Amino acid sequence: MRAAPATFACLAAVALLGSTASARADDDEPSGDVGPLTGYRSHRPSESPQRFALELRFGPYRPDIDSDFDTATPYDTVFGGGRRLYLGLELDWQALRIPGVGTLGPGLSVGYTHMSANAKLSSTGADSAEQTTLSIMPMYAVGVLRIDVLARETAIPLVPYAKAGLGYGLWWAANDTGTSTVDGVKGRGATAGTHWALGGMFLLDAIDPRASVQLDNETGVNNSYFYFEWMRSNLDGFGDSTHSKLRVGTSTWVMGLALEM
Amino acid sequence: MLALAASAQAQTVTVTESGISRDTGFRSQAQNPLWISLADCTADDVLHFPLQVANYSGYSLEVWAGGASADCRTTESRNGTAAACWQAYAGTPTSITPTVDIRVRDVIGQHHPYDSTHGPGAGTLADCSSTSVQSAGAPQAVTLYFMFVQSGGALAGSGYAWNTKFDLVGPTAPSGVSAGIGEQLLVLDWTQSVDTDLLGYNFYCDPTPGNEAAAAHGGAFDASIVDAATADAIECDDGSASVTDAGADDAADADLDAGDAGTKLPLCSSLDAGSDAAVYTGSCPTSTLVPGQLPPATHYCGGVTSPTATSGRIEGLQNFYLYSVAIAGVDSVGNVGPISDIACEEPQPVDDFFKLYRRAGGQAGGGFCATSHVGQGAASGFALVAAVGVATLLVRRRRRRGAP
Repeated sequence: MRAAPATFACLAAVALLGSTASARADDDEPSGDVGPLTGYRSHRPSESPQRFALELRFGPYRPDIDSDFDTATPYDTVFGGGRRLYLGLELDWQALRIPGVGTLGPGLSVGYTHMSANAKLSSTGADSAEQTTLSIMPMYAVGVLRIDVLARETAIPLVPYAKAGLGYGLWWAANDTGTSTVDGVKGRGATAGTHWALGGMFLLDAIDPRASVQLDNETGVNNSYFYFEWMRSNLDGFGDSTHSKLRVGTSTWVMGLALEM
Repeated sequence: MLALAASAQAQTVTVTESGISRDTGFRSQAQNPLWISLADCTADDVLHFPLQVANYSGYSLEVWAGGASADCRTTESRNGTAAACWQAYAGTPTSITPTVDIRVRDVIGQHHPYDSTHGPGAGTLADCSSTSVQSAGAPQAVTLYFMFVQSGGALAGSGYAWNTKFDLVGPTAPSGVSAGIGEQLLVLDWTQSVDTDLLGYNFYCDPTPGNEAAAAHGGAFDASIVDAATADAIECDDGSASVTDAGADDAADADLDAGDAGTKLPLCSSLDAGSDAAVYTGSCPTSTLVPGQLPPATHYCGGVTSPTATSGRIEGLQNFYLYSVAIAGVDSVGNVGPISDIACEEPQPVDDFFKLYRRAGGQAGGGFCATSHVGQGAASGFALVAAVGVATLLVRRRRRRGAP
């Protein structure tokens, strides 16, 4: 049970952030009521309470599996050097609004990526007709700081942000007959690690403020953004050097649509 | 169901359709259990119809069969010089709930009154494969007319018409069949059959899984065993590349005749390593599977149940045995069509991603709940998240104190 510390750390962090979020939620105070608004938002009527951010995420993904070895490249040998599509969903609780800065709160994300290729003939290394696959479900719990003071109080519709926390990736490998098994060891597991990201969001409301107001009135979506992010999902078992963790993390850019509501 | 026109008499006959049964050929609802297939006909299956009749005394209960365009209610269609209907049953009820048994061969046989042999019992096994009955693959409609007939041949009272279909011909074989190598399996690819009543495909193997030894010992192939660890290539007698036997040690120089007993014998074949998959290029060693012929049921080795499938796997095979494989279509009543061209290939060990990862020294795996130690970074990661949480909490409290 030596993996317990990582699990407990992850759960504790989520619980801690969750408690602050709950405390903030008890305030029952609309986030948009803090301070006078200037810029284009000064003309905007009062908006609905803003407590959450939802991100639809997609980007290229290539796990760092081969970085665990000096010379061997099992991932590259089978799946090649190309990147696969990563899809994800992140929900942030904007637990705290820091005046003159932005929002701070916990965020949880679940993603998925999948790769498949022909398995190799043991005799020649040529492609066989059998498929081999690797599926990864990267997850993370992070603290999210979104600095939206520019977008709220000036005419600059940009929101830089940062995320940091813990990551956890489930993975499973399969072939045509089911889960891959070698010497009785099933090809599935989980790897924990750290996770951080830096990004910037472009406030789409600035394109059509009137439509954004209407969207808020009808659906409760305060703001919508297009965002671009660089993330480092360092899923390596927190520096494990015993080859006992499949390094399913990656460094990659992610883009998508974010909604604050 | 079509209710026949009632006459002035009160004789009636009704089929309790929910109670219709048969001796053999039980199929799922997807396979039209009350249609008639070639297997039903070959097995001389009998359909049992529970009836409810009234005022039957003095009347003959008859069942006439006719195609989609025939109306067996008319005397001309039953007894005319060019009768379109044929008799499948004749008897006298002894209760108000009789059961009528009809042989499917009497339905399929279509022995009309003007034939030399006709009437119930005239259907034969030969009728099941008669090309005059059905040359196309599509199911054909047939209606059974249950009715009372007076002595002069006229109908009495009202009857009951029951519709079914028969299909005695399986789908055409798929084309473009090829076999790809997997570990203890072969992957088949094909081009879809064009039949409209296709339900899936059956695979046929020679040898069948579990009977490899007998087949290899009786084969005409030279054999060589190579230690997989050394992977030294050994030429077969014909000069083609050999295959390796992972289970044979210290036998690199052993040339074994195919007739040797008690040894797993790899078969020499031509492997084109330059292509994406090694492909057996020799002729397929089977005399059991013949393209265009109906497949031997004993050589069934798998299948798929999707009519749109163009790929499938045969599993449970042994590595380094040469299997001849073919595919036959299966239609909506379970008829199996003629088999495709033959493909043959030898399963071989393959390296999937996880095997290569473990071979490279990776130790991960074992399950989602598998445990292993975590590095010192765990503490720092936790501290980072905790710090964010604490900072959030402090700022929030400070705001509360400052609030009026």
